[in-house]
Amino acid sequence: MAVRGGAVAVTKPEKNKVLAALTSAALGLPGLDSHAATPTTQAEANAQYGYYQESDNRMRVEVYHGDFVIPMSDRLEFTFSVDRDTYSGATPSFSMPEVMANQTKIDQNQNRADVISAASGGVDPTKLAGYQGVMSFKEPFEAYTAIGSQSQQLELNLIQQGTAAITANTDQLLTQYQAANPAPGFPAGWGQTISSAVTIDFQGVNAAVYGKADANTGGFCPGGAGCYQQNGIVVGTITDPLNPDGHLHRQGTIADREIQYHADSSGIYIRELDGKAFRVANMFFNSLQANGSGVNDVWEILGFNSAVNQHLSTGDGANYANRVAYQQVATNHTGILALDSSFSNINALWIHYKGYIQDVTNSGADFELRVDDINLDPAQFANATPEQIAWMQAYSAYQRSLETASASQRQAIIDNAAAQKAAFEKSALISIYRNFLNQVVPPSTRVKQTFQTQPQETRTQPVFGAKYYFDDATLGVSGGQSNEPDFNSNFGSVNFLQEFNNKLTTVSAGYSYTHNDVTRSSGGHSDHHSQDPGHNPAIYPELDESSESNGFNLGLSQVLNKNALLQLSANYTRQSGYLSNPYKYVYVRGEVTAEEYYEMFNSPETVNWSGITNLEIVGIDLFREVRPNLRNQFSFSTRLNQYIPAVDAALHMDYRYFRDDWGIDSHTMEMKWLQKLPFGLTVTPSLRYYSQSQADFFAPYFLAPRADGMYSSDFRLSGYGALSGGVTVAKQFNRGIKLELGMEYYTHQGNLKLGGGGESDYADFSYWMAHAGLNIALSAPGQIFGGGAGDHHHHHNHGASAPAGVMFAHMMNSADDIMVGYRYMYANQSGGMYQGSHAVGDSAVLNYACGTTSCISRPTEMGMHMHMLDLMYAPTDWLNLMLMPQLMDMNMSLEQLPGAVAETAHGAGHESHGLGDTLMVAMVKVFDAPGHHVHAGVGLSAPSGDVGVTLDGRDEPDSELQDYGMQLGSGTWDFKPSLTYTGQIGDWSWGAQLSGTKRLQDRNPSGYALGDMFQATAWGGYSVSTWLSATLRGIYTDQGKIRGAFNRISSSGATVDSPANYGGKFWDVGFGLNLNVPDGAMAGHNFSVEWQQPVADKFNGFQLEREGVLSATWNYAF
Amino acid sequence: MLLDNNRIVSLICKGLALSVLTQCFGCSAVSPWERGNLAKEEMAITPHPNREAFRDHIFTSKEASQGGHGGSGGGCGCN
Repeated sequence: MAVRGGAVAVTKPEKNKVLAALTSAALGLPGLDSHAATPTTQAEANAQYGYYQESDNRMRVEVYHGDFVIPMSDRLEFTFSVDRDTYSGATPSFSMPEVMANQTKIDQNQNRADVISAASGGVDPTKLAGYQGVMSFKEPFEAYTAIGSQSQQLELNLIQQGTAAITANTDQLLTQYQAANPAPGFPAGWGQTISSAVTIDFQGVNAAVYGKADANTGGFCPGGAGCYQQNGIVVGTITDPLNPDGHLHRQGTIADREIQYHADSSGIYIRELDGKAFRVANMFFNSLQANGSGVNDVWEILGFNSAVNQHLSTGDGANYANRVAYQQVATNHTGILALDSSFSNINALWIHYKGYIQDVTNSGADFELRVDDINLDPAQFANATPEQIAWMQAYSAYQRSLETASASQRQAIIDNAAAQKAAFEKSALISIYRNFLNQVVPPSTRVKQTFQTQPQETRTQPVFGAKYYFDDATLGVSGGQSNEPDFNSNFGSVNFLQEFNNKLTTVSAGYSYTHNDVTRSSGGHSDHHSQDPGHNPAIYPELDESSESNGFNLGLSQVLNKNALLQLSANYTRQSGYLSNPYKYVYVRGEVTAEEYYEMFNSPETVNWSGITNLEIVGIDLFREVRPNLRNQFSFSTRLNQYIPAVDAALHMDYRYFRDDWGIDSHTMEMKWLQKLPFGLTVTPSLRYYSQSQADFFAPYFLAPRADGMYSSDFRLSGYGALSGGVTVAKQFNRGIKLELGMEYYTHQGNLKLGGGGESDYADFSYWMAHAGLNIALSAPGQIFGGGAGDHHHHHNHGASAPAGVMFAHMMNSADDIMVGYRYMYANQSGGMYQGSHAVGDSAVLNYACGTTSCISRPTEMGMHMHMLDLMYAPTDWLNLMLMPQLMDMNMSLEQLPGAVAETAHGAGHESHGLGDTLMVAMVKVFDAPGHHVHAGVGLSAPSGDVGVTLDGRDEPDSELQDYGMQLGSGTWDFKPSLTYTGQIGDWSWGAQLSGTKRLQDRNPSGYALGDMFQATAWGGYSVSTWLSATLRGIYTDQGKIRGAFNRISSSGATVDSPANYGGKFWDVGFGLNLNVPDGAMAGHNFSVEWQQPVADKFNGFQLEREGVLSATWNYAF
Repeated sequence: MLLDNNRIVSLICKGLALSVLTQCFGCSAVSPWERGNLAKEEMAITPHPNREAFRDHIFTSKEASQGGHGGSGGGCGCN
């Protein structure tokens, strides 16, 4: 909180007041922004820029700060401050043992990955336990494949052993039947048909079927966990040596399963267990998607007279020696498909998409078929005689009666075998999960830290404060807000300060309250597939939490002797509510057990998430961190300031002890040496050491769940030490201006912890910070500029102020004058689209505004806020030098054009913020006579504004640049000449200016250059009173086209992405008011405001209508 | 844990009281005309208030400890 108090180090001209303020100034108490017991005698303002950069291009923060202190009376003072921070970069997200960070995947190049990232697509059983999660790693997958054949063999053996007696009995009875009823000469294979109708409904199918059914008869299928079996019918895919992982998928609901075949296998293959013949009557055949609708885009169904058909994938997909039946199905078939009579006696059925039977996964094909309820009957024999058919029917009826008689017995055996198989698979799979996820982590194993990139984010914090001064006491209150997209904070404080003992002792007490609302921005680790409800079911509610903090502070300051001062303070802060960091994750083993992963794998639909863990699952063994919802913090600090007269320097020694009930205690020691030097310079080297112990619930990773359910791997709660050193240089200028520059380097290391025992070096990092500050005493004798030489305090020329929208219009007339100012400009474009001078409809924009391709979206509103600091100095009476850094703040909303199909990366809009270009101008007096004045300006604009602003705020090769208009600067060095004439007679004033911008470089680092600009303007003004004047102005602007184009990936599809849609010729009228304060406390201040109304436009290309420009300036000259 | 904290609070209070006593008896009375050095800007409690605010903001978001010498404004979700 940068609310400033009376201890502010400014040179106060009134000596006696300094003396009166002595003790209090020196005794200004810390904490709760109480600094002094005497009001500031002068209004003052501060501006500061701070930059923070972590090592390895991690986080970067830019901090802009502005404040002012205004004394309202001898006893009352107001302060106002605004802070604005912009964050970007990467921050640690979680860490894990290295052994889990380096596991081999099963995909083709067998790359290594960390186990957690495998499931980073979202919280979904298949992404945690299935083939996209744990099972996508080589080790568990191979183990799983191995148990597949074992379990099938186990089941088969159990069935064969169990049914051997029944089968023997049946065979004996059938033999007896045949002996009693001799068969009347049959075609070959007649007895080898299935005996009754069967429907394959896939109710018990696994999530994926890797078995290859074409390789052999029997229950065993090579590949994965084998084939799907139902009532003696085997369903799998076919052997393709180029695609060993070819597989079918389970689809449908738990109540009605179906099998899905798409472009990662060579089709569906069906046969009987022992190779018996059958007839396929019909099936449910739903082709959801296929490449196209051409002649070759069909499904092929083949019937074979043998159950085993090898080398299918190397054939043509249609013609094989054993093929006896063939049918094609159109791509868009949905519903029951009846097969023709050629399928009435086959031993195998193969369904596939035409033309894709080999290496399908890599073919780039895109098709999908779902099949269900395949109805099979006993095979039919076309050439049989009526007598043979009658015998066969009687035989089948007898066979069926035998089967019916033993059906329940068989079923019990089959059920038991299936149950044993399932139990075997379950225990085997559980041990696979256990072995894989619970790998031994040796005590000295390294920690792998994972980062998360965060989109650029801005925090804004306005704070208002007031202080009332009693004779020996001060009452201060302050309140403010801090706003971020995902964190809003409201806070207030009150404090009271009492002086005793002839002002040698000061005691203070304070209270502060903070309320925070915490939400979570999307764009994090697990939101990649958030658009797809099938991939990321919203099993956890959006974060919407709050926390609050109550702080109490007691302080004491004591003058020890004429050169030493001691300050002691004690703080107690109680935080409650949601105190976790919503972006930090923890790796916890065993919180989800191997059994629970098995359940996810086995029945993904019925996973009871809250029954598994109270933690929020975000990946494999990865959870959102949880901290206690209460934190009591205590701190005690002492500060000793010692003045050393011999060298005119002061030594500050600070120590703070901190402790909380999370188990953290810390020591902070800091030393500063403030050395006074000639020329108003103060140089302050400083050294700081910090050490903290870790929180009770901190660990880089957790190998077992904690009883209290609290976890954090946030490096800020770890045990470590930090050493930092820096230097600050301040220079006090005459006329109440003070400049300050500082730089500090900070290193965070586990082994710097006091007494050792800190975290290992995985989390070590360092950063540097730099700041530049400007302090202005506003009550230094002021003047109204723009007048003739030597009449600073007579204000004859108050009416001569130029409109707020005109830059470089004033010159100061005497050497050593200094002026500071602030210029704000807001330009808005909204409404309809224009081409040249005419409004155009959406269809014209769609078809013509984006060059050779169709437009997808167009802007609906664009806003640009510019904040400019004006610093002006007159070395002589004919030359003025100006320095103008600026801050840009831009936003744009877009909408999709009616009829456009795709989407753009622009979405509904985006923003950009940051430092703009910096102007440096020299103004030279050309002609000066009473009532008439001409000066020329020679300016140079330095490309300090970023022209690489991306949509995602990152600077990665795949980050798309925002459009030209949203970039923060021109990116080029620009020449900015101007020529200004001003005149005045009595209450009337007037002026004219020609100005231009010439780009000195052909291309900026992003590959383009903005167009050159020329502007002509003329105005007239009338002074309504001594302090108020009104202006009317005409403006003509010619802005050239953009040359070149982005040389890296950028947003596309909107009108603003085309360089042809920039620039034009514009005619505007400006209405302005100027307010000059001729005397009193605010003498020397000038406020101007102007609204610029567009009158006529001639845009280059297609652009959004201009609404107008608001300019406001404040200037203060010394 | 609570007991532990209470003990710390009581220690801090005792410490404060002790220092007040020793200092008040130990230090000499400094007359107003002897306070020139104390009034120098480099002897101010926070000679560079904006720098301190910036550093406090950074330190608070990178270290577990908060409070102490000066406030650091409202909460922030800084990483």
